[in-house]
Amino acid sequence: MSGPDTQTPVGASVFLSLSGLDDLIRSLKQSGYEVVGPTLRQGAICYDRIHAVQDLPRGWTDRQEPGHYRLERREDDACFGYVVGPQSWKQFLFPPMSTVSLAELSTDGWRVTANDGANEPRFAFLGVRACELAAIAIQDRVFQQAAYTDPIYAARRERALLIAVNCTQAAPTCFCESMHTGPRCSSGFDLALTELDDGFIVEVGSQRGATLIATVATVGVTDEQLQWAEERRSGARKQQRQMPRETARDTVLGNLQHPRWSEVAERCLSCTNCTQVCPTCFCSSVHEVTDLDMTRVERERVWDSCFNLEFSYMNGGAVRNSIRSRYRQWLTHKLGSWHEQFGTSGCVGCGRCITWCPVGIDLTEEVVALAGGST
Amino acid sequence: MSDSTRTIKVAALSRVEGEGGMSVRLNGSEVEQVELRIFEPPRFFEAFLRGRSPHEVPDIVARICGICPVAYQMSAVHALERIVGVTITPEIRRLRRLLYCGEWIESHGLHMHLLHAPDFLGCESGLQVAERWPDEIRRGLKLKKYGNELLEVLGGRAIHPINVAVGGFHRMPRRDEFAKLIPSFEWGVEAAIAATRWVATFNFPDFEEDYDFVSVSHPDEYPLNEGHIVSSTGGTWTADEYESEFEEVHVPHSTALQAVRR
Amino acid sequence: MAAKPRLAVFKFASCDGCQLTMLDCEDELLALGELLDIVHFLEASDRAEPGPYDVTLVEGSITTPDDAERIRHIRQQSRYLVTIGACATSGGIQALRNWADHEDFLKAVYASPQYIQSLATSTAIAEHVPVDFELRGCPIDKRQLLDVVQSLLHGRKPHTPSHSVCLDCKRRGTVCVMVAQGIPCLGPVTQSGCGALCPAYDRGCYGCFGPSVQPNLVSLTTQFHATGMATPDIVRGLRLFNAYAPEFRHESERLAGDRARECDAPTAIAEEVQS
Repeated sequence: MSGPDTQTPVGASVFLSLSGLDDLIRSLKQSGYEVVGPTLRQGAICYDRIHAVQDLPRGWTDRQEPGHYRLERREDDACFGYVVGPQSWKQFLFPPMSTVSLAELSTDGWRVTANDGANEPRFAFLGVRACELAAIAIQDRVFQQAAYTDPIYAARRERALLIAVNCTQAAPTCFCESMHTGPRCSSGFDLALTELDDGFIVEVGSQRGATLIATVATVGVTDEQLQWAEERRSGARKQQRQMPRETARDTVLGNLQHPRWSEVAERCLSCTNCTQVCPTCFCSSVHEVTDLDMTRVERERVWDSCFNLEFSYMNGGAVRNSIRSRYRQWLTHKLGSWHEQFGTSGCVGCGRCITWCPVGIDLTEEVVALAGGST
Repeated sequence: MSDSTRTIKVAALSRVEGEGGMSVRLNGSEVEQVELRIFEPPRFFEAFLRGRSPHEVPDIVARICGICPVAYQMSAVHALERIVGVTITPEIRRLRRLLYCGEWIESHGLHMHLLHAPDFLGCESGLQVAERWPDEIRRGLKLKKYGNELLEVLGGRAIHPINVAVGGFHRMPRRDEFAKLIPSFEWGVEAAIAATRWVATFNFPDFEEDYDFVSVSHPDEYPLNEGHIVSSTGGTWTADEYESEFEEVHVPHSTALQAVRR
Repeated sequence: MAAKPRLAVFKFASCDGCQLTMLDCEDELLALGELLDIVHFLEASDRAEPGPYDVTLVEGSITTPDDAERIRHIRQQSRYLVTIGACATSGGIQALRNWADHEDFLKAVYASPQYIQSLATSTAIAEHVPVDFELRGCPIDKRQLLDVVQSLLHGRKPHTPSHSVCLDCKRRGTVCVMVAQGIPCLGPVTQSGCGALCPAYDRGCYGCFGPSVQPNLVSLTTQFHATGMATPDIVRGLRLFNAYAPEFRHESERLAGDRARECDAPTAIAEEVQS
């Protein structure tokens, strides 16, 4: 048994019981973390504040198809026996609404206070999937590129503790394997769990993770347990959908006048759902909110979307004045020009944009059609 | 028309819900005739509700009046539940009563402070009252606001709540949503008493009229949700007897039907 | 300092709810009274001064011959004319008469229809006179109302986004009721403004703020059909408080195979331009 004085080294694994996970959550709360994890809400598994293992969606799983999501009972009591829900961790690192700065008028004139991130919360994320670790790595580049670091994101990210969970099953909408972003959690976490019947194999991914796991009781892992964990994880590799990762960029950028864009525009609602559930989409808009006597001005940043007509508004009108041009903008950015901008694809293969599109538009299908293949 | 006859015409009444005017014909100092002219344009709710799904009715009838939408929603769900034979649980009844209370708190705050106080205090508006009684109007606005907040928790929004359904609510409120209202209402109880004491200082005219007042009455509580129809001259009827006891007549000068005893 | 801008509020066929929204600004009402000279607002004040007005808020739709005249007079007296609410911006729930037999409606409600002066249509203010700004909602949202009033005072563009309700659902963390519960929802084609209330209460949006900009009605109703919803139910869903808003109207007519009556007094704007 390991104790506070004998830390498990980075890269090594230990076994944590279910009650040990409860202790871990309590330990995080005692250390001042807001613990966020999966929990049932409104017919889905959402990421919310949790306080104990009993808040987890034990015994529940999700059934996903394009435009369709339903909760279902599992035959076992697994805590993490689902795939991914409607929300990603984006909402905690890049909040839907934040005050960027505040200006107040007094007798000395205007006093402007910019949000430097000092008061941002400290999160511990429990249940981060491989595709989500990949998405966080992408948003790290978006928000923390040298001179253009976003102070709110940077503060929240720096403080956040990431406890990943390896998937043991895939939804029909998953395609992380073809994007090389999963299903195995390989880096970017502090701890990574693989759920077994009676507990978890915990892989230590960072010094912070090593310190944390040392606060609770664990035991050494057996070869048999490691074998079981490997078998469990292999369940997530059976994926129905694929994205042609090597060619998607050229396909979308090389077919800008393809009739398929008009066809998908007939179905696309331009409702923004795909961009909002996407764990890497980062568009926002900024506006000022003033009080009636004009002595207090808050500059607010809110999530926005390239699917909004107003988002491309420039002097004289909107640049992307049709659903066709807005869908094309989204997909060519996500799979194409994202590479030039950030050195990676913007897609991690989580499948959320497929499940949560109210009319079930499937981007993998669109890419195949644009490449000239049958759909 | 004799020399001693004159008619006072008010083109539009102010600080009331809806639109109406009034004319009073006097013979000397004797009132001969009073006409309340409701010129609110007809909107035909009774006509276009035909053929709608029962589920749509609570949302539609709310739009009869933006000041008292809950009253219409409640009347509609009670009627529809009777038609289809649905009995609601005591919990839902209490939550509905609470929703109704939210509307009444808001509406009383509005009427006492912004609509009626100006008449007693010789002011043209609540804003003008606030120039001389700022604390009283601020207190009244706060009471009104807390009524709205109760409506928002239970109904989603204060005007045209979206949570009322035949059989109950679309979503039950959460405990934490209510808990945050408690301090406001602890203040509100004291504030409501103080507001009532303030209104009691107004100069109410000594006016009594031999008139048959009709209301809903409940043996145990203020009759928000349901009750018998009673009259100040001693009549008691069930809601089912309304049509046989009362008649809604259409007069030339008003788009609002007038309910009279048969 | 210049005189305070003169504000007027007028009511046409409506429920009073949008005017009440102004009085529901409990925290801001006294400050509003400082900023503006409220010279005509029957619901709140005895003052009923004649124009000209700097800002005029108009609630309600045009449903009577007198009102079709009255709005033209108000327009002439108003520097900025802002319509508030679904009745004023699209004809409101009373626009359901536009698809019905007006005589039948009159007889269904009134014992003596001959006493009633009513047009066979209920139409938006903008079908009768030029409107400077349309504030949507049934009812309007008070934050948006305050923003519009402030924007007019300070000469800036009001912040009233034209995007769908979906974006607001996502911002507030509401799970999509259509995808997760199979509840039909007009959110993807309805303009934001309410704060995405209905899905947060486990029900579908019913379109209080009217069509969003460039809404794809055909795709959404096709999806409704695919999930088992019958055509008459979809038509009724579109024929509520913004039934006569062009995009909702055209889709409900495409599905129902009927046509609404056109505006009873459509020549007003043309005459105005000529004079």
